Amino acid sequence: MAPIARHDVGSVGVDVGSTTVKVAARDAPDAPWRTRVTRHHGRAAEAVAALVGELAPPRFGLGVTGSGAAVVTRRCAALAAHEVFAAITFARALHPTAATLIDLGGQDAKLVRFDGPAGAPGRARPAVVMNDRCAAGTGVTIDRCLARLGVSHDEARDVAYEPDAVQALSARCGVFAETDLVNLARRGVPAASLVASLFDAVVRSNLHALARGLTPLAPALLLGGPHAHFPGLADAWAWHLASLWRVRGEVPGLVFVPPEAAFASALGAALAAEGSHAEPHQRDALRRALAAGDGAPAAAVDPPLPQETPTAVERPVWRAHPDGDAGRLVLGVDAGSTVTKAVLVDGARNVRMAVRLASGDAARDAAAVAEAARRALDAAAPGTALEAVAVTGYGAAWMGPLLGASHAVVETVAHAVAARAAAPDAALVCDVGGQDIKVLALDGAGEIERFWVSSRCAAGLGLALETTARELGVARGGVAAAALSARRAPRFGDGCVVFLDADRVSFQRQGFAPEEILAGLVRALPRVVWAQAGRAAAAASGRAVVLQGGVQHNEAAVRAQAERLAVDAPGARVVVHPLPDLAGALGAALFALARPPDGPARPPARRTLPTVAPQLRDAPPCTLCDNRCPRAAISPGGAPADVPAALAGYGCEAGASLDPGAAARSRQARRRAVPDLYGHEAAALFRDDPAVAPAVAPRRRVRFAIPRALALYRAAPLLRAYLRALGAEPHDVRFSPPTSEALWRRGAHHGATDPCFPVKALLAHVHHLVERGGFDALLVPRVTRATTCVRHAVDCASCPVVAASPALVRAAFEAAVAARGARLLDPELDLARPDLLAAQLHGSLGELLGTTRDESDRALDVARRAAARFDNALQARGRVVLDGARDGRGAVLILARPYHVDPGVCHHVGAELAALGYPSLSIRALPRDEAYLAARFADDLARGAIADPFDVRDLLPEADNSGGAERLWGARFAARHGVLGVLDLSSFKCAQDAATAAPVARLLREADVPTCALHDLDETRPRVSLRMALQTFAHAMRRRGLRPWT
Amino acid sequence: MDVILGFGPAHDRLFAAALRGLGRSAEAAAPPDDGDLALGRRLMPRGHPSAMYYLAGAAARHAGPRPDRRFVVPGDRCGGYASDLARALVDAGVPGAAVLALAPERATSLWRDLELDPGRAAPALAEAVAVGDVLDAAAARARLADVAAERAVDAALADAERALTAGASAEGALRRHAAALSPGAPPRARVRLTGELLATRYDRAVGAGLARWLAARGVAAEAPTLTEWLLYAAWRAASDGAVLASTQRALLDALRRAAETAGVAPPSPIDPAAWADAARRWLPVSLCAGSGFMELATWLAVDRDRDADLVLSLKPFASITSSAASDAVIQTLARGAATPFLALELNGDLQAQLESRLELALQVALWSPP
Repeated sequence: MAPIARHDVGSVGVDVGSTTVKVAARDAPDAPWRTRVTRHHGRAAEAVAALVGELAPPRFGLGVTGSGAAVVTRRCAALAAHEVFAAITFARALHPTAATLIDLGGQDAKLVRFDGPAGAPGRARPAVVMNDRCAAGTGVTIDRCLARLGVSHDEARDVAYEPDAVQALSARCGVFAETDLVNLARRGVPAASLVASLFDAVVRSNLHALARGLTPLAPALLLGGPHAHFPGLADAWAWHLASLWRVRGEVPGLVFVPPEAAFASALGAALAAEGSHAEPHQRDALRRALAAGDGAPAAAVDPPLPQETPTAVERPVWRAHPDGDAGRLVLGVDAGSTVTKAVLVDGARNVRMAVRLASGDAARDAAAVAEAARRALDAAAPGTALEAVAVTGYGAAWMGPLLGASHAVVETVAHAVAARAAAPDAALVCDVGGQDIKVLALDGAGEIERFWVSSRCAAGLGLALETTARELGVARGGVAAAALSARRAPRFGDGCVVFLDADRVSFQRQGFAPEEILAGLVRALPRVVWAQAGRAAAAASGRAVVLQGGVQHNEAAVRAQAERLAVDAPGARVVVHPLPDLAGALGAALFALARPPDGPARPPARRTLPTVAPQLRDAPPCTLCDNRCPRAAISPGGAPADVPAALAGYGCEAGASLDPGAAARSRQARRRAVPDLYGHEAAALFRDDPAVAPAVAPRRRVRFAIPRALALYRAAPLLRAYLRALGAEPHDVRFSPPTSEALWRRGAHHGATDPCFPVKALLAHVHHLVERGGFDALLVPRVTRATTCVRHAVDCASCPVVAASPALVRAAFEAAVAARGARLLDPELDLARPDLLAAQLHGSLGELLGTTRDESDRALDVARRAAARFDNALQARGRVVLDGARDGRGAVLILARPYHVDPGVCHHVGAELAALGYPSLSIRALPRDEAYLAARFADDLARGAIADPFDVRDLLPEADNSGGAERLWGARFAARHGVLGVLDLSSFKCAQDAATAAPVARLLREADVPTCALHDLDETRPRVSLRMALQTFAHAMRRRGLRPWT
Repeated sequence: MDVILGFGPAHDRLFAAALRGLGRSAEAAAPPDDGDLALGRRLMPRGHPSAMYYLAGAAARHAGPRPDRRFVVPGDRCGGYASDLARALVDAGVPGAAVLALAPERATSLWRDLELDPGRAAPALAEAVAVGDVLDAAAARARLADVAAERAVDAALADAERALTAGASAEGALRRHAAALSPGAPPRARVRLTGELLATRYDRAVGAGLARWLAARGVAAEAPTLTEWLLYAAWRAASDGAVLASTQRALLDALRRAAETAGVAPPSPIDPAAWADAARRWLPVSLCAGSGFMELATWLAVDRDRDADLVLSLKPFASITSSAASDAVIQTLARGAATPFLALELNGDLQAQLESRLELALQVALWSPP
């Protein structure tokens, strides 16, 4: 029997979210609604009590929903409605024609699709999807990003969405999006454009996380606070959904935000309560019950933070150098991600001036630095001279020209120098910056021996503390005192900032007090910081670990780190840098003092600071690739507007000039001097081999479209030659273009839950091909095993995620391909078993092409020869690079999976290395000549560690994955070769590579090979941190005597 | 000394007991807890699935500084981590630590690696596996009842362990406790667990306590049997149909006997061979996909037989094998199917979020909106 609404009682719906409480109430089923929202600052029960007291009628049915519903349901028998069901109830009651419901909350995102007309089964039981672990693309991401930009909610409300003006932001992760935003803001991109780009990224993120190939249908109902508050966000949905409907052949329709959108869940809960038989609640009794406190938390807790500063912690004061020349002055500038820091230091190490600027505008910061330095110089004693200007940090590339810098110092090097100045025996340096965390291991001479740069998942810890404190109503300066006053600390996970924030919400829900949550967050800091470099800490025993960065001003954070280091680095002293947030600027200045720009033998030049009144304006976007990177020009004051001092925003060195011709000439000149074999391989793999002649007369014309992704980076030469040998014309075997930000943005909304980026990019490639059309067969092979040079391994299997990825294509595109009258072919191919491969190829393509098995086999023979020809040619070029790396010149082996040569996946590292003067090559390009290898592996062979030069069993006996085994082999090659550095690439979330990480690292360390590990590659191009890592790597190469070629 | 870890709290003890009964020196490690996750993260490089860190932490905690321990663990994800785990243990101060990962996909020779005579060892080990499966099923039902029922399962386990250690059959132990092990009232709903072995077998930490959370709501969480895992291993290793059939028969007979003795029926093991063709369209069965392949087979089987209301994949963060199936295939396949599928990514955090997603999936599965 259906419940009957009671007219003698009212109804109240409560939505307890991560940051707010929303209440909807009415006096009777046909009465008007009253709604109210308030932020709860971690005290949700009290907030509910207050709003219920304000809005509720004396007697009412109560429905509760939201992530924090338990704070109410623990105290009274309210009807608990999951947020999704509350939203469904709302939609059914008030917007019954909606076909799709998309609801964004503080931490959650939900999509509900009602299929069919009223009464259809799909309406009664709609498809329901909710976001998984990550809260990217929800309200919390928008809040954090707006806070970073200094844009208020009201300002963001007025921002219109212009699809053509959006900038490329990461859509996968809120932290990544934040990183991109900060970089764009520093480049001078207007705030309105950034906010519109944020809306765009939020929509794309949700199309990934929620739709997963499911097409949201019209009319689409947008619910939740973000949709209600930001019309531009709704416009972004409308644009993206229209685009999706166009590609998938769906009928376009309305996308709308109802007036009650912000209170939809609360209204849904109230409506559900109206339909229930439960006893009505009394307003005053409920208020008393809610005011009784939040009850016992359920989470695991850690003990309070140490009440005393551990004895191992030293806080030296900054000391001048009595023997130094106080007449020499150097300006050091650290143009950071959010704050510009500058110091004027003399030769006696006196800090004459220090400024910290956070205008968010690099040009304004430069002007302010110059002005402050000029004042300090004016006040300096006669006879003193500004000898050098040294810049470092994220913005060094454009800050340097504006200030007429004499030195550009690699950020890691600057921090190492600063640490050594504070603690001459520094063994480890930990700098927690605004955007990244750097951990540097220093050798006895103070040079960087190893380094870890985390620009990804651990990013923004300092900011996380700040934003959490604000959320909890704790003043910025009060974080340490609050955290230290807590008697317990809920145990946060070790994940990225977004996950830490999700934990924070969970703890608030469980009733932890604000100071306890802050204590827990502070306790999480060292776990996150030392997650990568923890094992290196053990080597610091007897020496100093120096803590740098602004967060080290926080006493609670220092104590938490010291406690952790007591375990990880027993016997080490923990030294808090005397000027922790200025360490980068200070290090740059000290570096310049030690290395006068005009050479040590000459007297230093007397420099004057330019009068800086820089202007920032848009510059033409770079046109050298499909990414069309938007650029900004920074001109010094007084200079002609078309003569920029610096260009900012370009994604690679090619974009560093406004003149495309000059850029091309410079690139060609560099190519001649420094071969980028890695980049060459990426392009050459997909070129037609003119030596391949048709082995059979074509029976019928079949046009193939093939995504340039994943296993095709291994199999393309073979597959292309096979199809050509069967009579296909060159233009009938079409590959998608290389991965680019533009290609990814256009085709990224087909969605998989969350595999690695190369797998997700496959869908964007297929989207590109399907959108262009003009093919008869979409060919996406499932390559299960690969041919490799490695012998004796357990197997040469493909990664299961990669091999299964064509199933994603089938799920997302089967209908679209069929609608174009084409076929989707995803044959299983075992490249390692010739007999099986022959059968698989003929079995999957023979009927379509009208070929016999014999013809197919002959074509495969042709293809095998073509593939071997490609490999031989590449290895010959590799030999040229290796032979050229002599007389002190080094080269770089990029240790990665075959598909990492895709420039959009490896973020153009080959070109970046070439710009630094180092040629690069892949494992595939290494020589396979046994005599050549035997000479280099002679020791391994002599002591019986390996049976032949292609044996890796001593490194990982159970190696069974083709890419993993090749990584091990390549690492040994580099370790034995003598002139190679190693750039070790791996995609975020690649557990296949995790198994090889330790043996590779150990082998390279033992052989003293300069190594740079970038193990979290993802869709976002970490331009600045990538460049910093590569510059540090180049520094390490030079220090090992491996010079650049230019 | 062989240390057994990773097969499940009951199976670790019974497997070790059976080895002792065969005259070997063996012991079981304590089940992983959240402290082990933190410890494991400090010992192993980044990028491993969280299950790996639990395993490494539990192994290091168990070994302490005692030398020459060989950890016998299931080779999920093809066992590609064995050397890395051994290295981490040695680095952590466990001299001479070795790891033997029994990987189904690699057809690891169980008898050779364990240095056992199959003729003598097979019956004892098959019985240990079967008794563990039956006691797991009994424990799942006991969680729905009360503490006394859970104690009864513990007592049966201790008796079975003693019997196997003595080289005897555990049948008597099961018979003695049969009355207390019998299932009580039927559950409100049934959730079939799948995913990585550690996550499905160690509910308290690795599995985020979700089986217990479900039990508190009257829902039975049915973990896959270890017999099923061994059937998969046998199928992977089989080059001879007769040998495969005889292995399957031995395992299934042992399970049937134990189930009949205890009066408890564990979930029917999935026969991978039977599902290979159905799965092939979505996931290459020749692939080293491990639990990923079994995930797909499980979902297909449950969807056909309708013997559970929801299939829940417990997927450690960054688990490539499980990702291959649950991210790439089943999320899409399950749309519009009779049995819903939910994959939860576990990383030792976000408990409230996991429970919220599970609650929603349950409500959708049962379609019981408030």
